Amino acid sequence: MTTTVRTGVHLGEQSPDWSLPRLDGGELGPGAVRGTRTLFFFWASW
Amino acid sequence: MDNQGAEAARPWTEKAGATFPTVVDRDNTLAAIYDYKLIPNGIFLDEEGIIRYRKFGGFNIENAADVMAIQQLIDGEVEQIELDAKGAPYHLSETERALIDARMRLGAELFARGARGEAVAEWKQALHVDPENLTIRKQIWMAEYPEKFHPTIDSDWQKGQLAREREAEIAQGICGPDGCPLPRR
Repeated sequence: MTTTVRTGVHLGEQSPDWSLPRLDGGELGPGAVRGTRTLFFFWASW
Repeated sequence: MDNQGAEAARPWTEKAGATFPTVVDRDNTLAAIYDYKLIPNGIFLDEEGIIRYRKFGGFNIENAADVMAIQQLIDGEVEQIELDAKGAPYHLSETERALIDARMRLGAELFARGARGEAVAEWKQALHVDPENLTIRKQIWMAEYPEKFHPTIDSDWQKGQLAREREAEIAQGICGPDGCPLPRR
């Protein structure tokens, strides 16, 4: 039996911070763009 | 998002002429953090890093409704936009999430070292914990059936493959958090 809990992220809540490598070098995540309104678009090649 | 790494993603950003920064999520990190099961997705953060919009599945920067929503947020016409809950992710336990995260990371590392079969085996173990997760399933497909993704993506094959795999999984009792469907009479 699977136990389910409320996880993930929700409107009005702080986004968890993360940092991942950029294709053009360096890293990027929410912490790096603090102070600006930012759209993160999640896509894949598949 | 691509467990085959930056070199798999780069041709697509170049073809799209992307002018925005692109990060590569090789280990499924963001799916674990934001708890999504499919893509494409959009998340809008305000200046303080507060989530003001999120759309899991079907977000498209060429879709007029999606563009309008983001424009309203940029222009300050609304503080946040709540979408219909349809398509919102179900949730797994912390233990299940940690197990999936470990399997996905190990698989990516194995794949990077050329151990494709072992990598796929790890990803399949992750999928067994979360069989409705298309982000995991499609990355397995991409490793096992690359000809279905390059040079073009065979969407009809994906639909058929998904149906075949789910039928086989359900027959084995691998059904996800909502359980197995009742058998048809």
